[in-house]
Amino acid sequence: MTEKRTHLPQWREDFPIRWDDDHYVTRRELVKFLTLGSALLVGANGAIAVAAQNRSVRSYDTKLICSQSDLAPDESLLFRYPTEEDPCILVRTSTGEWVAFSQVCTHLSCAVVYRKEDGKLFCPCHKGVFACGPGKRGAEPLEGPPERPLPRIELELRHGKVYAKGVVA
Amino acid sequence: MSNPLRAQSMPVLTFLASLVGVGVVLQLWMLGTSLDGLLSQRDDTIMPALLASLLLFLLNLGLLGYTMRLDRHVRAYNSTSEIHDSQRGPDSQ
Repeated sequence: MTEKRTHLPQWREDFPIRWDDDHYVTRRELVKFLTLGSALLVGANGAIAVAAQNRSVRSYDTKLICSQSDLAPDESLLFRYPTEEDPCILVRTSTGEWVAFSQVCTHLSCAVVYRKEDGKLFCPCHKGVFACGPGKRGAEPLEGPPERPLPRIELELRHGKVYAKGVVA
Repeated sequence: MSNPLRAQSMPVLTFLASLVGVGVVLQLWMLGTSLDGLLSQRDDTIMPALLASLLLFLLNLGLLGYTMRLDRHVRAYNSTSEIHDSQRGPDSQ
């Protein structure tokens, strides 16, 4: 043992650390740390799942948009809902259905317009196209750079008038 | 390394740490997919990602349990060898 030590450099004698033992402990602690991180990641994933479940219609005050007689089939009308800073578009489709969406494109926030030729919502800035139907999530992106749907405005038809009553986002 | 069993278990421990590390990276990928699904309102990817993440966590937990058992085994060997050394006395070294 003494003979072996004589071959060691001076600093090893001054600091006799067993590096192999140290590596063993480091790896063991790494497994513990990674498993803790794994638990946190499951928690974060669960939180996302809960957030997705709780995402539903955000209700706001009911607001009158127009009379049903104001719009013929295949026509659109711009309005603001729920606040004056939220531009929206109301469309009466060629089949007579009433749908409304946020007018703010989900790509770079340009204003989308209703295109009569194909009955779709069109963003002129980057040629994004959205479906204009009563989709579950909103107006689904069909072409161009947008990847997320336009939020849908919940409508209520009552006594010949069209009301906005919530936002599905 | 003073304990030969500890020296033998080092590669096993390294392999276990690597496996757990790969699991955590896959879980990060699942988290990214879930977040993407939440923000793009494509909820159909969220639950499978959560289930896969949970499975990976359980696998990691199992590997941690194995690591701790291995460590206990190594420690037990260490303490018994120390007892034998002390019974032999300083002259025997």
